[in-house]
Amino acid sequence: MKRISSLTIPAVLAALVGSEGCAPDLSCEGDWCGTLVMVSPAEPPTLLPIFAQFDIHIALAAQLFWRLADVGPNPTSRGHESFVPGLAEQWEFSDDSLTVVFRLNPAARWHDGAPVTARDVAFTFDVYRDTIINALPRSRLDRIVSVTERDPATVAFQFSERYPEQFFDAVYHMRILPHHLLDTIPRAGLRNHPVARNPVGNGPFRLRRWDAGEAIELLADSTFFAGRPSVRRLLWQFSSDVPTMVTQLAAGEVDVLYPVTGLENIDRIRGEPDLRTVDVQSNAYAYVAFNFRDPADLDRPHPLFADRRLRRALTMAVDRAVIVRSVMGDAGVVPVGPVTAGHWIWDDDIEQLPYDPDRARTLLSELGWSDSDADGVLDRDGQPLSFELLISSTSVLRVRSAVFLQEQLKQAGIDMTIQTLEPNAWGSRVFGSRRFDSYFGSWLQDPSPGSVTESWTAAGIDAGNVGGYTNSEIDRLVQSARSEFDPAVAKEMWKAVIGLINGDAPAIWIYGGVVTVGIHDRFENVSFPWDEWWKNLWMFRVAASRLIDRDLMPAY
Amino acid sequence: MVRFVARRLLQGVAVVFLVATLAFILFRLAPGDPFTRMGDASSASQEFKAQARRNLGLDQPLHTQYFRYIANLARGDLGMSFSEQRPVLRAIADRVPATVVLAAAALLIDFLLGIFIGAAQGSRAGSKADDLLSVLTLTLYSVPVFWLGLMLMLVFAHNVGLLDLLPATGSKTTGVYEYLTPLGQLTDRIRHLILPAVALGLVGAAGTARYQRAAMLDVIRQDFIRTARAKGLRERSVLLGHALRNSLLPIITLFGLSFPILLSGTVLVETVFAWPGLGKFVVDAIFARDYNVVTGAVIISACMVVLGNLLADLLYRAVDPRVRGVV
Repeated sequence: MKRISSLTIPAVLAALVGSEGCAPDLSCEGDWCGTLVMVSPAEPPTLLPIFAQFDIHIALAAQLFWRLADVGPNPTSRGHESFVPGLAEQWEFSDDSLTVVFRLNPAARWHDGAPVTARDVAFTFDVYRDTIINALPRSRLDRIVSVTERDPATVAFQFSERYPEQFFDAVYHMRILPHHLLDTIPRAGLRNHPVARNPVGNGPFRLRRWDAGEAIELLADSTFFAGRPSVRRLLWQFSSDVPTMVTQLAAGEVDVLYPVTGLENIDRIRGEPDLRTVDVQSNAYAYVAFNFRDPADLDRPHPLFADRRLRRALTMAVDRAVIVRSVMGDAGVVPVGPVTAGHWIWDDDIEQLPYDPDRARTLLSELGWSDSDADGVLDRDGQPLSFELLISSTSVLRVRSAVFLQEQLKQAGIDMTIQTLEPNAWGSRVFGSRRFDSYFGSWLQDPSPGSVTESWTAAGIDAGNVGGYTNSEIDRLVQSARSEFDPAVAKEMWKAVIGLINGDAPAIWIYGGVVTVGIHDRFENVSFPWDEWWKNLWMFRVAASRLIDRDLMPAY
Repeated sequence: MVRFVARRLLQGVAVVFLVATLAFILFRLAPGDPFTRMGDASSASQEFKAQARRNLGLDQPLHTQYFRYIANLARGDLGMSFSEQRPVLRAIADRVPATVVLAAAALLIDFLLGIFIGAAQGSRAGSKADDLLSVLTLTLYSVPVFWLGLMLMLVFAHNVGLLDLLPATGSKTTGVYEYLTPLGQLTDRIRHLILPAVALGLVGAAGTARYQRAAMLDVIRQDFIRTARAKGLRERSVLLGHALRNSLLPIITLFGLSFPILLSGTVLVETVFAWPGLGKFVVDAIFARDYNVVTGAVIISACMVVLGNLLADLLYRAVDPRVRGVV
């Protein structure tokens, strides 16, 4: 046998390392080239919007499926004047305001060429309301009595009552599905049907391929009725942890990372010559919530946090601005309450508890707490002022914020122990057994202030209000605010609601506001709307002079 | 031989069954379920979660779920993935090739390099080169595989490394791979494979070298080596033809034992290099409490380990006539 030269292996290795692969002819020309590569830590189970449960799933489904109409640049959930057309080009309310009739855009097409019809809209409503499907927004459609096809291009929504968010409920929660492709599939089997991972949509992009565990490739629909997408391909990669995704961005393997967490990662991206960061208004706020029930016996009030004055003292002992600055730099915002900056009910004037450690100390003293044994921790009747905070280990920002919070409370003589749990163990304690003293959570807000109801009123006890906080005055005011048609009056009512919640201090609102996005600087026309950051990806563009190899790949 | 293989396969079935049972029970005892986390930052109602649990049979008693799972398993059905909404077998099948390629490449580096270094050390035991290689292999053996991966990336990866030679992450070049010629695609795959395979293989090679050195030393002291030398054979022939060949027997056992270690190592390497394999998939499934995926992956891993060990035993019997009579 011929002996392999000792130089053969190094030579092959050198050839491999030096080779960039046999590149094809780079043929894309003009304004419609460009490949946008996103990276996310999670992969969706399907691409059908009815099964969407987390933001990456919704973000991907949104590229394929559009709504009848959408909230405009200044997102509000009230009225209809500020909404922009989607699959529907016009709409009109009946005289009694109980019916809204949509006229579909005749140019709207499914990716298989079939027109989008009123039957698709009626079918979509039926699917979203189906208890077998049990879509997440199902309960948000309660007040829509029926959706009926008047003719192929006209569809009518009938409401049970008149209220300010009628139009929002009609258009925002549902993305229109193809009746002609899904109608024959049994509802119980739809989730597992192959079409759920290979759907035909009506949006700016269509699915080309899905490499499980790796990436989803979407191709721009050049005939899209709302205008041709400015990039030709949208690739969505799935990675694992933040450092790996930051490395992928720095290595030029992906173009956009939303969000970049950790100041060190943000600095790293800012130091890369081809990358830039964009600060984006976020629709999430993070908080430390107190349990109003005793974790040892949920029928009893919590020995510490059932007391409003103690919760107020704890809140006043925390300098939230320092925490935000320390973990988020200049990008962070201290929430004025359970509401995110950019939301239409946000107002700097909302009444809040100030950072006032002296008042906190006085209040605690009035409640009988003192450091009788000089160990640095306040005590009363032999019991130290001590409690546990539960945190999910996956949130770097929450974990880091908790350390600052712990230190500040310690200065006030309060002993807070941090229990960092694996996400499911955390969720099981907080949302399952509800056996906790306090937890560090976050909440995503849509343009409707109704989400306040889910977390901080009696109506949310079975949903997000796991601490069990209630205040009948707030419940009543929320109902009034939701029914108020005058926007200015409604805003004042919501401000009062937030102010009252702040006064009761069921939680300490720690951070919110702005998140940082890392993006390759060849992209122009970049915007990330407040309510759905993924909404305008189809409008990103690359100038002809800045195209790189993957932008220039030939068309299919 | 057939009786031996049949017996080992039967034992393997028992092992896999036991592993499946343990994985099923232990994982379901962990706190939370696929819908626990849904309460965070979403408006999922208790009603929604209860319905979703009913849809998946998670509201049934544990023993009912277990018997149903085992009955399905006997038919080759690993159930549905909660997080992917498709059969577990199909979801795993999509990931196994990437993991097998990575593990095979790492195994190749592990054993080729490990045997070479260990044999060189054993044949020059006590020399300065032996001491130096001992320090080197021990150091490598002590290094966490994810750290080594990161270091390799910092030195060799495009744009983020000092030498700017190889792709940093993934198994192919995003957005370009599909347009390459078949040769270009192969080259692209190999280039992406080098860093993760070297990270995983180097740590293994350090351990293999330690075993190989000890085995070589053991063989070199034996009478037949002295006889070979006395017959006037060249030292090269003695070492390669006699000593190395006989010292490989313990390494074959090590080969069988390497499978589970490699599979656990791929989890970390796949995370660092965003390699789309089984390891990362399983970690995600654990966090998502995707019971069927985790149990299915454990069963697949158990099968691979059983088959790996069987392969090692067969190799052992092929190269060592003394064990052929033992069933």
